[in-house]
Amino acid sequence: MKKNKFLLFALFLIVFSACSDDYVERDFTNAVSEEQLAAIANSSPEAALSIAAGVEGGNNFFLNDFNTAGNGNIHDDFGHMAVNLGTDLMSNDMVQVLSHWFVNYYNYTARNENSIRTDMVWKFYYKVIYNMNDALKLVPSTVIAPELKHIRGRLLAVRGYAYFQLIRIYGNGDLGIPIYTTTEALGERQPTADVKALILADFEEAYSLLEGYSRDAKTAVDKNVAAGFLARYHLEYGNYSQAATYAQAARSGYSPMSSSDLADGFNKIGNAEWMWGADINTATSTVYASFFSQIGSLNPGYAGLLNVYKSADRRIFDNISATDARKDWFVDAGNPYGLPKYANIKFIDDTDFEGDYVFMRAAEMYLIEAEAKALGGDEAGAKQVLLQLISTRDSGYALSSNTGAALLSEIRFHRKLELWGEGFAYFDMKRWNVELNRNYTGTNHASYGLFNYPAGSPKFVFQIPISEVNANISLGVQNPFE
Amino acid sequence: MRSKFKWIFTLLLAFSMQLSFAQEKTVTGVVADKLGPLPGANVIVKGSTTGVQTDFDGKYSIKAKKGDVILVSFTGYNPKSITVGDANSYKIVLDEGMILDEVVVVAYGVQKKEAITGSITEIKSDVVTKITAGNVTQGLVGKSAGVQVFNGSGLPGDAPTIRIRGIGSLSANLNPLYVVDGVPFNGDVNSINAQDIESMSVLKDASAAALYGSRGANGVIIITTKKGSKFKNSSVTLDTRSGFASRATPDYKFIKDEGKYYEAYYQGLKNAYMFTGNNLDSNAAAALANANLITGDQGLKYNSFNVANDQLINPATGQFNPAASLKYNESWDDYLFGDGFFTQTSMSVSGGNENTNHYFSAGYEKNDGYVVNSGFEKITSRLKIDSKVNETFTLGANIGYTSIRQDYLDGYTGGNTYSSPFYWVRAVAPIYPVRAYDAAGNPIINSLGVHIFDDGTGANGQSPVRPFGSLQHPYATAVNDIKKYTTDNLYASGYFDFKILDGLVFTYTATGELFNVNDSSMDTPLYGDAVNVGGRVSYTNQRTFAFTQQQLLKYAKKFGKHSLDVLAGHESLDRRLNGVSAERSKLLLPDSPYVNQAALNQSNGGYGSSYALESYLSRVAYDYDNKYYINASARRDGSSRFAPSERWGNFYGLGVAWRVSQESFLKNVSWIDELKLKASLGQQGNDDLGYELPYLTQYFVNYTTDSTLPISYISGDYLGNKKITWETTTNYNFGFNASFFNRRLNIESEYFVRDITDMLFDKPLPPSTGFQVTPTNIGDMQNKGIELTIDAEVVKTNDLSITLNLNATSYKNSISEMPDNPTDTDRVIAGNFIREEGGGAFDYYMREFAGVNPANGAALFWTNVDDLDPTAGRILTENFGEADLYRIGKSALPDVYGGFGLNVEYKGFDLGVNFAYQVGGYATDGVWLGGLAVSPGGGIHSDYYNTWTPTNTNASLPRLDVDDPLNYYGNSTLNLIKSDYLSIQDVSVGYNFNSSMVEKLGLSKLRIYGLADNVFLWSKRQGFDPRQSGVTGASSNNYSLLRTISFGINLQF
Repeated sequence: MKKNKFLLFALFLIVFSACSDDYVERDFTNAVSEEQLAAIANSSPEAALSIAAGVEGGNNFFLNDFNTAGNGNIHDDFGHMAVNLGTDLMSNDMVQVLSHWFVNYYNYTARNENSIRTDMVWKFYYKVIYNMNDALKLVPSTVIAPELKHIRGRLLAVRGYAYFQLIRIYGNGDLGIPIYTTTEALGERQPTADVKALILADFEEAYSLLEGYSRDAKTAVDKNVAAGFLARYHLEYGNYSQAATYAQAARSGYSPMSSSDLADGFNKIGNAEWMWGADINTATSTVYASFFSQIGSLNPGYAGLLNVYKSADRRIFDNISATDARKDWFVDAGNPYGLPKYANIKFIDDTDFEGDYVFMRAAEMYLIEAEAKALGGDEAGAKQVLLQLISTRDSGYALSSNTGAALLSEIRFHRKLELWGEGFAYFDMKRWNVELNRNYTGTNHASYGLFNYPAGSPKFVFQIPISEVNANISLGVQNPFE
Repeated sequence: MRSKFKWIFTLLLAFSMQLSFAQEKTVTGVVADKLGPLPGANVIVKGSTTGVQTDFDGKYSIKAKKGDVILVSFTGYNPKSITVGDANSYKIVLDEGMILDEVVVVAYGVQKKEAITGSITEIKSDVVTKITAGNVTQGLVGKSAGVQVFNGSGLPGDAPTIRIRGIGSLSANLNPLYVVDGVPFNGDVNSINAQDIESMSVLKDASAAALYGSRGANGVIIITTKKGSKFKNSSVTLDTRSGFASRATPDYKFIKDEGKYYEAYYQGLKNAYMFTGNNLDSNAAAALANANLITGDQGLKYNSFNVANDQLINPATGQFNPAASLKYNESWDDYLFGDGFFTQTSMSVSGGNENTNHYFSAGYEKNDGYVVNSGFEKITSRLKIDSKVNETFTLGANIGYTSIRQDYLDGYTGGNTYSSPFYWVRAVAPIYPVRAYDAAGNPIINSLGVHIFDDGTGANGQSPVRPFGSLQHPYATAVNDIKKYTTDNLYASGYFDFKILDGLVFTYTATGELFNVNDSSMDTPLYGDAVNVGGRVSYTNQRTFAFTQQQLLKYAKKFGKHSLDVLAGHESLDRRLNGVSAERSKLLLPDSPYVNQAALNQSNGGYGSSYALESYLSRVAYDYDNKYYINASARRDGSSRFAPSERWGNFYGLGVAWRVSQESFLKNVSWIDELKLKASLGQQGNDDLGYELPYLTQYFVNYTTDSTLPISYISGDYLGNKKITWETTTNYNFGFNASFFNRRLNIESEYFVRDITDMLFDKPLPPSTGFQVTPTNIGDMQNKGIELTIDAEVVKTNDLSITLNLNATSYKNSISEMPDNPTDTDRVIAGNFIREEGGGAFDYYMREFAGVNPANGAALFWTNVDDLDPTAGRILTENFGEADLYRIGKSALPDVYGGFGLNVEYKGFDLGVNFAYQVGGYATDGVWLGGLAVSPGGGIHSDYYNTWTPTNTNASLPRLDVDDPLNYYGNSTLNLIKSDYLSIQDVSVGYNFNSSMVEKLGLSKLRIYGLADNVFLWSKRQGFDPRQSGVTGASSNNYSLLRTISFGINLQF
């Protein structure tokens, strides 16, 4: 019996001493939790800065990431450049030669509520907004230290730009989009005027906070880029004199690229004219699902290898002056590369899908200033600015003698040509209130894109994706199907 | 029939003290059944503590006095008693009977079958060993009422999806808990050799599974492995079978004739020109389609016939040119698929004496599979020892090691990727060859004299660019890629039993499971999408270690007619996973799968996750006079997955049973052998939504090679929820078990209700918030249903026995509460389903297809649909975007499902056939709809002949149109099909050689047999296999199920 009692005692010891309170407490080993980051951020202002910079850096990766919307192995989802290319294919200016990735934009099914493309565009920019708000919580408007002000400026600029893209893609007249900031979460579609006010406030605060900021790399937004955003904003909404002023401020310190750079393939962020872009390397390259894969006619991606070329609308190519160096961005019949006529060689990647992306460059600022001045009545000023840019492109160019609508048309032609493939064509088409005219005599558009929509067509407005409609009960009215 | 298993019940024979004064003598004899001596039968003197077992020759020797009653019993036979007279030797012959004192394996122990108050189905070894699938649970289809088994993929060794009693949750882990030899199992069931399995018990209701509380909310499957017998000598069993595996069901009927394909695609172009694009008239459209058929921007690019491109089709008639003949004819099916050889061999040795028994087994299995280069090889081994050291102390160990090597290819799990062979053969047009040919039809040979593969890029200079899947070549990558999984599973469990007092036992069990998976994957630099990066090679190693400890205190006592069983215990689990991976590109050697032989660094990483669970459990079981039973259990669990304030949950179970057949008013009714009424209720929890720590939001550090960049991170996909806690399932179960006519007819029926509250669910968030989902406890759901199991021995003579069995389950799923929303539409739309109060979890929410416009073949849909009265005032529209979505009144869940079967035994022959069926559900068939969504180079389904053309204006399907692809209409009833099916799941035929012949060979048993599984399927559409579509009812391009036909021998000595 003694032995049994001893055994009994030992057994109970084993039973009840088995586990401590911490036994069931676990932490991530694969990732970090929000609590862990918050704990670091709260420890000191320097720490808060580094956490905010970390979130900002993460967003910089996200801008060029593959499968941002989580819809699977979708090779037309690679972030901001995918949206640029997709919207370009919805304009008059770009032709998709073969039905493949991106054809949904070209044939106008990408903007339908059930399409995973509108889903991607919406989710992408709202995730950027979330990331910016996440970091902005750590750098409120009361910060004083210069580094903190600069980072706050950068964050606000990018947030404003994300809203700017969204409102121009999804806004339908007065009906805007949901607004999320560090203090409010408004899931209902806000009036477009409110969204515009937020964008302008973000850009202006960014512009002033970025005073004195000197950046390490062109992947960060600086005061010039903020000015560029303001120029784009004011041009879009008809504030011409402000557009011209900011455009001029934006390009200060930059000059148009040399003619050898023009033919270099638009793949180096170090280009003298580039103001803001993405630096792609081995770790960030998304290979086949990347911009150069889709548009580089000489690269072994979808365009070069599988012949899914992106070509210019012939109305652009046929009207480029013979002395204009930009004619060499497109090929003619009988070219040595074996490409079809009108295919572009503007974008060539001479690396293994590590070509850099351009988000903003100085040439655009010249064009904004010229157009703003022309629309604002200062035609002489417009012509001068245009000359400054085009003289570096076209050796045979002299000061324009056009006036009125003809001058505007000339400026717009150069804008379409200069910024071809950089994500402006669709937004310009809407801003100028012109029609989509692809089905004209002699057109070089593909058969699955041969249709016309009148100016101001509801088709130019993307429908809000069904994932938002289903999950957001307070959203409001959907954009029309047609 | 001899049975040599389940010696545990002998422990339950009560020994009571009694003094005996008469003179004892030694009584000897033989116990036999009609076939011969019966080893291992129990011989006891009634009322005494003495009991022995018969030896290998059936002989016994026991001390007894004249007048004592000797009771002889053996599982599977009716017990017999004899009174000791003057003789000293008695031969006792036992008759076969249905199980009386049978013991069923239940939570943390065993219970006599009549004492079960809950719902348990047992699947015995003889059924289990007939399963040829690499994963033994694949063979459970139709075998148990209340259990739905979906074999999502036929890949050898793949685990099926098992649902017990309906849908347990909307997105939490729905898999049942597997328990192996009393310990919850963390590994993969395919590491267990089916031949090692003694029985599988499925615990379906709460009181049965409550002791597994937290992880048993979706039911528990207990797998008990064989243990050594108490024979004096060891016995050896050897089982081997071989055969072939082939595709179980024919594929969808896609157009495979090249000429017919050109005709169909031509029509697709012509329809587009007439109706969707330029609106040309018929002649102009015909001419344009003919001109663009091969070389247009939507052309097919390849002309596999020996006539000019514009001579393939006659534009006046739209018909294919009968004078054309093929330049080449290659079928992707022939290259990618082929019957695979399969073999399984297993050997086991079991033996022992009263104090120690052992069981050792080793097994080998090889299955080449149905897809090229996708074979599977498995080696299993197991050693079990139980040793009674002395009266107080027993210990034992159970050690198993399994090694699996699986060759696989990209896309083998199916899905709509170009690299999936199953998707490819349906999705590619039959005009594209596997190998490259030039325009004249001559093979293109490379400098090494090899006829190269055609990857569709036109890079060989003589072939055009293939519009479908260019750069992809699933056959070339399948044979040139090197991809394999190598898995090592080590299972080691040890226990000791301390008998503290009479009836009080303490058991400590510790189990360690270690599994290690290597994934070595090389993408060839010769073909496919790794060509331009010079090939890719990656290596991942993942190690999981799970350590479970149990401390159980059991007390069992009989006081006269009262019997009491008490259990109290503590269990803890610590499971950790660690992994490391590396990837490089630019291979030096084109066939090297080693990372270090490649040059360009792509990525590397180390990761891990962990899970811990701690539990306190208890159970009390009481019965009176073997007539009235009651048991109750309680459990408290803490999970690492929840925040500390939400961490712990309490779960309980209660069951009662009444053996009406033991009552005096029924005891003498001869044709009723057993009638038991039972009722139970209980609660269980579920903590698994698939997240490691759902209450925390994750941030992932970005990997970079650029040292100038700061550390950066980005938030994950889900928003953490601090309040997340246990999902609770409350199960109610009422039923009866009855046996009639000497147990020749057995009926079991149960009515169950599963109420699930605080369902774990991935709630979709508006993407504008920056997240797509958040894990939540959302709403309540209920599954109500009825199960019926019948088995009947309809013919029973000396030589012949025919048994029929049937099981059927019918359940309804409904959502009883959704969380409140600011507006009154409390609903969640998930894909094709709508979830709202009063509806089911898988009710379809779609647009309704209304037929075809005879003027232009456009698909028509209903719009202006009133949810409450769908047919009133609705309008037709051709505009899919305008069609209204509404609840169409159909569900993905079937009304009834189950199985039935037949077993015949005649002399030594046995034959078994098992069927499975399902009636009343609907599925969406995206694979079929994709075959009508014509795109350049894409496959076309033969239902093309039912589509509208200008000459077939009464067709039921919309026109084929390259500019208006139909798969855009996936969320509509056009895509809906009934998921009813009837399948012959398995057929087995065997012959047992009789004992006299067998003994001459020195054996104790010899059986030859043939087995076939996945024999046949009737479903609503050829190629559509509802068994693969799972609960969500969607067809898929998964690895198809395999039919295995094999022959084998089983012998014992």
